[in-house]
Amino acid sequence: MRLPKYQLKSGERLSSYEFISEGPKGLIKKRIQFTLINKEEIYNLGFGDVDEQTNEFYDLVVSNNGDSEKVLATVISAVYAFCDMHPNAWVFATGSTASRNRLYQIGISKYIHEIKEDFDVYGQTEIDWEEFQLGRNYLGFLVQRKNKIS
Amino acid sequence: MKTITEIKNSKVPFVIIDKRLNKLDEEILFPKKVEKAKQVFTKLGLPKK
Repeated sequence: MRLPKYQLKSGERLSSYEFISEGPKGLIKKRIQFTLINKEEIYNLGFGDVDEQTNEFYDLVVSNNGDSEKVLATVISAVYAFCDMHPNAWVFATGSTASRNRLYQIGISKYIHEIKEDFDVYGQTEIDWEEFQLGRNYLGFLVQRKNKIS
Repeated sequence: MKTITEIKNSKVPFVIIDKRLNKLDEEILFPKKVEKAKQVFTKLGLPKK
């Protein structure tokens, strides 16, 4: 994606990332982690804010630092980076709260045409997966890279 | 090897490797979400292509 995004830092395995959000609320450190959940190469994408005083981790808040689009673009770029290392991986994401899930839905919907150039995108319903469709509300989101990223 | 143009136009971002962040891989940062995700895939499996 050609949108502005924050610089990502990662350990050598490219499974956990950090970046710094900058906005009216100051500098907020954010972390992303891809966690393997079963042998079918399905990974959970976790994302949240770090309290630098306590090193505690919060994935229930929406920090509202005025840069949600840049944060979203950064998280999506982390998916590209991770899947470049793990081309067969499935990446699953869902919000920890309904409001965060809604933010993910809005973000994916906004860039779905570009995302679909490189990924198969599915939405989770109560009973199954379906190809992601605009205007539908989903419980979670699942992507897998297509053969070659453009 | 990629050309400068290919690197510039690639959607895969530059990522700074910081070995101090290796420690993040030693723990599951979102245990509740991981458990929830496991339940989803136990119930639904993967999409049928």
